[in-house]
Amino acid sequence: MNGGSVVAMIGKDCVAIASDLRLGSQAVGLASNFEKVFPVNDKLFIGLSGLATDTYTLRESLRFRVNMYRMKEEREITPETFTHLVSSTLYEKRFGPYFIEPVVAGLPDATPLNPNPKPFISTMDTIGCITTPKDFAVAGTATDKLYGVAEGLWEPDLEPEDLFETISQTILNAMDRDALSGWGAVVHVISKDKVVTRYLRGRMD
Amino acid sequence: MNHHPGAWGQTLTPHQRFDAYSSSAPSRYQPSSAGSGVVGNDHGMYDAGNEAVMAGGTGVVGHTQQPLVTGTSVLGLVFDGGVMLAADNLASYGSLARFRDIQRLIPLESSKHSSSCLAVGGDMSDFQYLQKQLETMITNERTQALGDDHPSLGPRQIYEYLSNLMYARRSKMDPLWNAMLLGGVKDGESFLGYVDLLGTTYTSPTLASGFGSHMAQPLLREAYESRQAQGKSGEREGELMSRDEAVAVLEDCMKVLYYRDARSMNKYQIATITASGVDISASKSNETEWKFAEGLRGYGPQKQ
Amino acid sequence: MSRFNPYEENGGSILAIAGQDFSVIAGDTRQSLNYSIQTRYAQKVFPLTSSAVLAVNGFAADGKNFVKRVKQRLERRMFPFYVYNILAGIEEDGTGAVYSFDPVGSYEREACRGAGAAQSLLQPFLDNQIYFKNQTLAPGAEPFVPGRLPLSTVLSLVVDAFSSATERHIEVGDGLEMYVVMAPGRSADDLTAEEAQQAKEWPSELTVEEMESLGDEQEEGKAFRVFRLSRPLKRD
Repeated sequence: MNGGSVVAMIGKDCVAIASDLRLGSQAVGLASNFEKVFPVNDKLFIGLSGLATDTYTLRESLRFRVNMYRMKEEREITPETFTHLVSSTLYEKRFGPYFIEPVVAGLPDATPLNPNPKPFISTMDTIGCITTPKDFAVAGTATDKLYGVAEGLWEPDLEPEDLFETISQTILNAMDRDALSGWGAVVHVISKDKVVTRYLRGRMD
Repeated sequence: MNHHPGAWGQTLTPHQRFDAYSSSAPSRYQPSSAGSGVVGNDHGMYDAGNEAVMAGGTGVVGHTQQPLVTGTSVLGLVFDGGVMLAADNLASYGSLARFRDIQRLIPLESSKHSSSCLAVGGDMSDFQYLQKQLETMITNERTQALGDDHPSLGPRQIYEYLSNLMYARRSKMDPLWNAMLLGGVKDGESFLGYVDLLGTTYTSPTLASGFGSHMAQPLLREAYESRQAQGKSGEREGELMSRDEAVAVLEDCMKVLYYRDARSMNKYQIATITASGVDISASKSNETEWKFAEGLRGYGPQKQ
Repeated sequence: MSRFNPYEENGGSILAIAGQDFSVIAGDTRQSLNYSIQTRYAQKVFPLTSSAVLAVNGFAADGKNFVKRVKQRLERRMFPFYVYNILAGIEEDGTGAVYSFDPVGSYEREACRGAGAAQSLLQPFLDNQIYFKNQTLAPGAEPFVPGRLPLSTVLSLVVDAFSSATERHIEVGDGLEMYVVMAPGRSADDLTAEEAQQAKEWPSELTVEEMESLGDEQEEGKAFRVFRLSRPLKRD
């Protein structure tokens, strides 16, 4: 496949999601600007690591479905609802799945029904089985390494700047031990009033 | 010409047989007598045995590579004052319950210092070979221990010997197809260890081989750990099960195994190893309840 | 007919870190096969001499016999032992040393190394925390030098690394066993003093005992010291 990894983390009233920038064909690197994280709305992102062609197919199919949702409902989709949308989209292809493990990260808006929303992350397998961790979610070819570093570095209630440092160190160090991920990374930190996107320079080998 | 050892004794095609350089033809290879072909042990007495069989003049060494008549799981448990082992009396031939009165618990060295006992599962002919080997070794050691200050064999020494023997055989790619538990007591200290055909060894207060490692080991651990934990808040910290409790747990495990292990039998023995020696119980069986099966499709008479 | 397979994979992980005048080497104590825990206490780390400790991971039967043979100083080629080794100790110049080996004997001296079932979880964490990979200096700060961390930091990193591996890898857990080898003349206060053990950084539930002499003669006042540290890990 094409390689690549995604990680998302929960902080104090913020979430972060990051991906590497490599696109490869087996061991050959092809591009160093292949972002795997896409915005769904102002405070909701999805990372689609796996087969690159499915990354695009799924992004477009989800964009269509989210637009339809927005027009019918006349409101933005919540991270939780979006997760179920992704899940059912994946399960439609139960016996010929998209080779994608998605990671969702978002900050829900306060509503009358949910006045104190909490930062939200979720992840799925290729056929849409959902997990909603309280700490971090990882996917892609560096999964093992991301788990090892994230488990060691992450702590509860990180402020946006500290969360940025934690997720960046996690993906950089995991990437450097994975032959199929790397070539730089992109990090989005979503907090109440803004999203900060930063591009990280990494080892180019 | 293929000089790789794997090609020795293989029939050659006419093309391969053409030997342009008159090198020695592998097809003419004759095995020398087994004694000089295999590295021998002059002292012989503890040698695992040169069991390699020369297969009909081909120069290929043949080995036993599958078990034939087999015993199923064996269980072991440390209790207050010693160790208990359990094994049923069945030796199966495939799915046939072939020999129904086989004792798979063998008492080993027993002296005023120590006592040991072995419980064996797996191939029964390998087990009988092993038994003979062990008894020879133990007799020799006991004889030596009579005279000078030669140390006597404890369970740890027998376990070490067994482990070395099993590992040496697996390294010859000619394993003894068994999984065994050795239980023993020496100077008031209990010992319980596992050895198998790969030479893999480990010790633990509760042990089970084969099917028993999946079905009985959790029950044994639960019993052992709940007794240990009782002490955490109270005065009995680290206390072990009593003899009666240990028997009850083993009986329960043997019952569970009888219900679900198709190669087991409701006739088994329990060995109790304490400072005063090895006691192997008479064969016993558990009360079983099969009424539940009446309502199940596939058991009993079908009504619809 | 399938051929007899003389190897098995018994899980677990090992790890070693070198300091300036000490080295730490650790392993968990679980031994497993597939989804079954065979025992919750099987040794993977073995003190060899007064200045060298060996950790062995892979096929447990080969591991035990390998250590036995090393102790007898025998050599072996062909039909390799399926084991990954890490050796930690003190070099002749008094520096902490870690050597890692593969099953056929290729080796390398390093500042740290993780191996075994959870190598892929341990190693990138060590790259970051021991080699300071992907970290940049604050203006005017002392430069990072791998292999110079204080013992207390190394100990809590080892405990963190194994707690993390235990959390995410089913073959790692039950117990953690660490050995610390100290160069001659080095003070052991940062390990044994009441004060050190009360510090915030000190890992919880850690027991420390000094190993008695390992048989080889040591000159008075120039002795290496070896400590055995142990601590429970989660059992699930």
